[in-house]
Amino acid sequence: MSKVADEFKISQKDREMAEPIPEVESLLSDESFQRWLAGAAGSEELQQWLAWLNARPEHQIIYQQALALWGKAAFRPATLPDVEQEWQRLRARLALPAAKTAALRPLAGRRTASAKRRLVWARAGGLAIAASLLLFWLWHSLPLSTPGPEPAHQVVATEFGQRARINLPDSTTIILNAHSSLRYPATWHATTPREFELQGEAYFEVASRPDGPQHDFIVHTKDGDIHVVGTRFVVHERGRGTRVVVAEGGVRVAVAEGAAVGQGKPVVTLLRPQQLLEFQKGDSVLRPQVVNLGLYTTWWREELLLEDTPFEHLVRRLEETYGVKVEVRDERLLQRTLSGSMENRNLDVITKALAKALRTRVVRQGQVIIFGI
Amino acid sequence: MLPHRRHDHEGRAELRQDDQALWQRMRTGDDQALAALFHRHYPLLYDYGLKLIRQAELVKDGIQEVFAYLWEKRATLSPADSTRAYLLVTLRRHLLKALARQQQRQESDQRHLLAEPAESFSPEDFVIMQESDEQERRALQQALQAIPPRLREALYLKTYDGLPYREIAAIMNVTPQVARNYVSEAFQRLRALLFPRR
Repeated sequence: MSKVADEFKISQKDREMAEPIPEVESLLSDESFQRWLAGAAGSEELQQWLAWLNARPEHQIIYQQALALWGKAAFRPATLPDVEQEWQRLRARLALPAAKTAALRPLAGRRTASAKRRLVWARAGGLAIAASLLLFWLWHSLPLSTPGPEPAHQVVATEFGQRARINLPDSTTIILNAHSSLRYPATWHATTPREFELQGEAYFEVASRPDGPQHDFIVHTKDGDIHVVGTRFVVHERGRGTRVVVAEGGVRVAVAEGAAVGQGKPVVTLLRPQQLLEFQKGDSVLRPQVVNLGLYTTWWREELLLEDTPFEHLVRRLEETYGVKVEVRDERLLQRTLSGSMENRNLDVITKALAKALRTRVVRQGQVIIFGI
Repeated sequence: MLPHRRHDHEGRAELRQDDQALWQRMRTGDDQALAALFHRHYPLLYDYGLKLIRQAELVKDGIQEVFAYLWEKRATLSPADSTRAYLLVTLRRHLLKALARQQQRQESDQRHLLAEPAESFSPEDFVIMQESDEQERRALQQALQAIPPRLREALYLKTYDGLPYREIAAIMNVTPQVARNYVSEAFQRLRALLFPRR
């Protein structure tokens, strides 16, 4: 229970009166506000903060200042050593049995990305004695021709303008954005390694496994592997490298080796909430940035939340999501930023709202959208 | 209208329950629970340890010691309110002792005992240092150095994973109110530094 919160509490009754605007520091010292910034607020808490944000224009300003300061106060995360190797060291020291912990071992890091992918499914083979209830999952995937027992996997793919929600039996939720595909094991029980191959973009809310490790949830793209430490994040891969943005918890990114295989240590970094990393296969230096989450992690909602989002970012997103070509005749528009919320229903609704916000005109000619005529 | 305080909001509360269940199982001799706790908390422990003493090998060994201690003493350990805070504070004590031993060997000076070194939570590790150019960096470095290490540590624990004040308090051996003052003052100083009022 914080005193600070009371200072800027707003009730319907006294909204007209001039209640004090909180100092940035007192706002930043408030635990509930901190949870909101860290993307860890519960849904009720989130709604209340959004209401606060929209109550007065001054709140928007102080919020922006607080967010900027929070981002600057962050520390750069260290590059993690090989945790599994460290665990094996401890296990040997304490003389713990090896067999029982074998399921915890992540995939070996020295193989090339494509060989690794084949192995991912081979590994799951040993665990394929799935509960009979889950057997129906099997029927729509064909057995593979590679030798050895391989479990079935399934692929969900979306067209332009479509989105898919995937609820996994362990109550993990994945929202696959338009023009994307995701491949994952079709059978599922408590110890199935949770491994995914992604092309396009997806939002992940990973359920924690009380009995198992958190790090067994892995998303593969052609540029590398994302090992999940925590819970909410987005992966985006559309042919120009992979982008990962973390909303809550954390992920460990392991970059796939480039053409020069076997040089030095694997490139690995830990990403924390509000960090964004763009990387490509073979990268040897990783530079995470601190960003406003905004659109990065909320594109799937019914309402788009914009926080100083550059129009250019929205343009790219419209092209990726709806398969249209967006022309911006007035180039100055691209640098403009937008804040606020917007209905995320369909292409026409969005383009009209954008044109209105930017005080410009928009026309649609088939698959081409033209702004700034 | 303003968010009412719920400490046990969804995700985090769930995580803590997981931790408590694992802790319980670990105490009864379940090595898989130990493995799960090790993997789950390793990233924060390593990152924190490295920022505290800046010697990777010492930190890696320290984490080994913490978990070995945990396992050997499991029968007599009490239930932990926050496993994360317990692990961090145990690592912290261990690392500062190890560092003091190292320094004693070098200069046989006992005054350093259990004090964190001035270079803990170094300005170099702030994200802003990466974003600035050479000239700005030198000025920033000096200014950030003027923020006491304890404030920088509280700021780190807060911004890394949004640790609640009561956990920061347990780790830094102060009251939650003091932990809150640390964080608040660190933000104040940082703001004065970065956004000076005209």
